[in-house]
Amino acid sequence: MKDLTDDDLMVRGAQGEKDALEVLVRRWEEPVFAFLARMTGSREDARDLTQETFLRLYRNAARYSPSGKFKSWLFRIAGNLARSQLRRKKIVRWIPFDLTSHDLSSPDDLADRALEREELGGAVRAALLKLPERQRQAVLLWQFEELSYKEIGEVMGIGSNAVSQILYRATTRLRKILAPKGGGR
Amino acid sequence: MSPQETPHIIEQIPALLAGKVSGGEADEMRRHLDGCADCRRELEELEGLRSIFASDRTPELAHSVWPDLERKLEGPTDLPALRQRRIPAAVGSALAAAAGILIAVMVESYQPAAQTAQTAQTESTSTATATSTYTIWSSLGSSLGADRSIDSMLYTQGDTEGEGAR
Repeated sequence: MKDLTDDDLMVRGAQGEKDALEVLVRRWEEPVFAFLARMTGSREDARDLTQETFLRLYRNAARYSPSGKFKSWLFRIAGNLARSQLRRKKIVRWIPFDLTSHDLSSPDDLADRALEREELGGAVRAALLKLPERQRQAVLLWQFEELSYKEIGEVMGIGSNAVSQILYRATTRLRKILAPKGGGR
Repeated sequence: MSPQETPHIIEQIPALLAGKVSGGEADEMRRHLDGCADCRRELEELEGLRSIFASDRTPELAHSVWPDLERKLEGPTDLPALRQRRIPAAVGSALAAAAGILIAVMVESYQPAAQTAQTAQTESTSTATATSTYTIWSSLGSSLGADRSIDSMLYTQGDTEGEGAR
């Protein structure tokens, strides 16, 4: 079962094979969770939404046409859920993810560097959360999911040129947010 | 045309960085970058941004969502009959009311000849029966409405676009 493609698993899932869904969930839950955590800024929300994403995936499996676009389909569901959640909550979270999982056994200098990286990562995540939802979605799909412009367009329901423009606007904005106070262009 | 005279390629730089541009188009962009300080600075800044993203640790799930999800799939709300036949509460109530009235009329009109002498008593009884029947059907109507409420917990308003992903 684990050797089957996403499309094959979806076909089986649509026929009610729960084992097929389990393989899909275990294959994709980490990237979906990471995407949702970065979109919402909340691990707790991301976990719930990850579960909801796969629930909807299963319930709509019969409507999926196997054409090798599973990833786009999956992230479209996840993206829509994240955006709905953000609209419902109408809040922006500024607090970076928890720092509790540092490797405390590392030598001091390594730990310092890890902390530095973590702080930088926290700043990036906070900056991401300041982006409008669609810009954030495009950046995450481009940067972390490595979707092509065409695939991002499929996820977001827009053309490749529009994706390029959104990414340009997003990166310009991110750069301004992350620029040191009083510096930058 | 020199790089300074060609239009800026700033909007295409993310694609170049992501390796989504190749062949002649990529060569042309690189030639432009060689001679255009503005675009080159943009490229360098985006590369810097990418490296910052690269230092961001990927959020990881502490535990798989599968066990919880499996329990949900086995739950009563996943019954296809409940999911597919969504009956609006108003329609359910109207159907229940109509059925109640119909049964009340049928019960009331069914009076065997032998019981003609007890008409007054029977009228009283059948009215009570009709009321009771109506109550049962109303309850059923409410239940049908309740099914919809259960379903709406899964398909929250405003985010149904996720269902029709393709």
